[in-house]
Amino acid sequence: MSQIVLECRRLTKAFDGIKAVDNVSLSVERQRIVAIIGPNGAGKTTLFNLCTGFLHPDSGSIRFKGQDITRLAPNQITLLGIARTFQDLRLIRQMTVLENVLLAMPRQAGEGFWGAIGSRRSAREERANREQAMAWLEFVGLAGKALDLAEALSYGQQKLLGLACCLATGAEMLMLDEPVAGVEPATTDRILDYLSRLPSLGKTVVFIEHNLLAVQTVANCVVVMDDGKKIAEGSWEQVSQEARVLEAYLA
Amino acid sequence: MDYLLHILILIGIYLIAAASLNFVAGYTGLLSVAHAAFYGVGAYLAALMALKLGAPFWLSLPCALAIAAMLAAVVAIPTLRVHDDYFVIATFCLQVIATSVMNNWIDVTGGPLGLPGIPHPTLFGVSLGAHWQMVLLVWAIAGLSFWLLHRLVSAPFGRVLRAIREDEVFTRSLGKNVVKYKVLAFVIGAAFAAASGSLYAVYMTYIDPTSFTVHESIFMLAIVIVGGAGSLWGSVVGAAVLVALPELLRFVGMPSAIAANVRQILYGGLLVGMMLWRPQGLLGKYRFD
Amino acid sequence: MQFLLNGLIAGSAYALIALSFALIYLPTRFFHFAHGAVFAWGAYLGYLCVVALKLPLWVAFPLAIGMTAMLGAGLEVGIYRPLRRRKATGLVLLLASLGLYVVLQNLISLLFGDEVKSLRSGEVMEGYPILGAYITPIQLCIVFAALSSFAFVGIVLKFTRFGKALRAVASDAELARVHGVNSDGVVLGAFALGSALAGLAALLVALDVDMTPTMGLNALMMGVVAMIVGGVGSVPGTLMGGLLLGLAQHLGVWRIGSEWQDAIAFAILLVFVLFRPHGIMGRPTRRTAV
Repeated sequence: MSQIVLECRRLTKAFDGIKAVDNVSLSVERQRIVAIIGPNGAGKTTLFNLCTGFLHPDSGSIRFKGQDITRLAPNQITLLGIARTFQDLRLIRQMTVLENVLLAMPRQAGEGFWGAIGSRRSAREERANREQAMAWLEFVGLAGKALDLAEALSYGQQKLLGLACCLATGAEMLMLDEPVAGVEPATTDRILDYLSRLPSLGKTVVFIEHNLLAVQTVANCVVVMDDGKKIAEGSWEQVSQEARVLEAYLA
Repeated sequence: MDYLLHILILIGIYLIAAASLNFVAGYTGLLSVAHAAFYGVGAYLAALMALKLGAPFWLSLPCALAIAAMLAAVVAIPTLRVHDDYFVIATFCLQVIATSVMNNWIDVTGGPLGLPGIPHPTLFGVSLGAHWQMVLLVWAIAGLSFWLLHRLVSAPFGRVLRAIREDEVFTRSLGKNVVKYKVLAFVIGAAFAAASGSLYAVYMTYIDPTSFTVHESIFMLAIVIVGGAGSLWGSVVGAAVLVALPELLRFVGMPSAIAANVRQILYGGLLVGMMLWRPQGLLGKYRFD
Repeated sequence: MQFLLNGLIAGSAYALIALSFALIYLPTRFFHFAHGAVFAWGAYLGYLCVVALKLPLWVAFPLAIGMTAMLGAGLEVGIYRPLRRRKATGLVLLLASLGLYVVLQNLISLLFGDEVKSLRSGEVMEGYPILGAYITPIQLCIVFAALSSFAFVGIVLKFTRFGKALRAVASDAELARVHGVNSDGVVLGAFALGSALAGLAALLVALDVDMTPTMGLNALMMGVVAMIVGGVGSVPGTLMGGLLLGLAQHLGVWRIGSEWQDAIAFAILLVFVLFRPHGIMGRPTRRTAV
């Protein structure tokens, strides 16, 4: 079985003539934690959008576990095994914490028209899903808030909920856009702790961050982007010494 | 007594229309002002099948539902690609075009003169013409409709709809085929609207395009909003309030010429009032922010 | 040829209505459905002045237009502004405006009756001949009023403080507020001006083809078609949209028959809404995916 889980080949995406992502190639190995860093406007979120189907590249290809996912829709990609969070923290605020996680669970019989109307099977499945959802909430330490509305949570807790939802999808690869941005230190440490445990659960993690301390703590591999291009890749030690990287941040 | 039964019948008919519109607009967030168009389609189909084909009601009802569903599926696919204001305008266009067809396709719909003489449904040879019989029929179908819609919204299916209402992008990112759900919701809503319209046709025995205009769509929307978007029971209460309340005007001795206008002013005013003071409606929990 | 001319006349009316609506839509970005009722009220206020108060036309006109402006402004101050204070979404405002439309239109029916009313006195004039077709003085006025209103609004938007403020709020309300623009004042002004133009259009239309309480809904939708077809946010686009709509509709009438003219207009709108919502001259607003 190949060690490479996600492979992006020469991805390019332009808006109004400006290349947001410029010929970027990236290979992510199984069960690694990869951080993508770079100044604002470097194209990091655009890269995420391309990998998760929210945008399609002008040229280049993306393969996930050997399968070409370049032109697939976001929901198809999630079902294949890539889950993501958003920079602006998306959640269903007017549903409870538990409902958000239940929503994330894949392939529920009760989500179909016939499954919803009849069938004791979907009721049974819902009960089982509820337990599984609570388990994920326990993992991120939100079990006590299960019946609160998502909007009642603090910002950090909402980020934890976002993580729980990603996990609940059962996806093998998690792409997290700024998982600890704007979160106070105690919760940041918790999130980073959970992230570091994910590879042992079989998950691969790719995350975008500006918090370089977080990157240093948790990432085994760092990718640096600037101006749409990948300008460095390697361990934190290697990358933080490179002149190009320092230039990008100081310029 | 008969008058009371008449009100009950109307409440039952509007309940089906409102609950199904709630399903589309209140639960899924698709603010459609074309509901009366499908209501009208159901009415005309039931009328025409009875008048031109002599079909019994138990046959024309499912046919009307099926045809309305197909029509809805056809218009849904391009229309659901646009959002918010543009979606409302698109449904507005559909509604007006539908009314225009009802008025102008005279060969089929009878035009402004409508279709008179629609027979009441028969059960084992007995014509269900009496008010009390109609009440039973309408409320049986209303009960069944309510039950079906309730099953859908209480299931994970409903959860996906509510998620789509608030954040389509997030819902998509969780692996849900948002387009499929929106089309399905729209089609189901249209089917129930058609059922409601069919009942209306065989109860009133006469239909004309004036009952199926954009004003009627807005009335149904008002019922949904007043009762509470996202609450099916709210639509029951809303239907009762908005149908019965204006009828009370007649008891107060208001001449029927102005009663129609006053009725509309009442529901229009209720709509505005609700937005100002209680956007979630009487029983709803979803706030429109 | 007559159809062509009729198309241009109708198009001018549509363009004027579209302009009146666009002035309100641009800084607020929600569909003020009640504008249709304000339009109708413009005609009926004129009726009140001319028939009930027996005022001469040259007094009744500005009076009715002024009252219509106040009506529109009143809706903004009384209903929409409080709603915006409560952080109402566009959806809530839209629903409120639907309700307002229903209330206002039925008030007209209640107060004035549903029958067709006329502002005209005197015989129907035949009209001046132009290139083998006829145009009546009123119709000439419609075209003139439309063109001059567009010119007027164009000048206001480009050169006056109010106009610049309006454009600022239209492109970015938050930024405008940061720069000290009084967005509430701008919106109020837009409502007043937009409603006044609607009143003007309504009076002229009423003089041409009489009035009914539901005239507003149709007029509004024609205006919306023109605005969307021509391009939201483009003043010359709106003019073009109106003229194109008038021509297309009357050409359609010539070929298909007049009872379908509404359906034609709405079909055109539907096509644009679904496939080219930015219209002919607007720029597509890029919807960012995430």
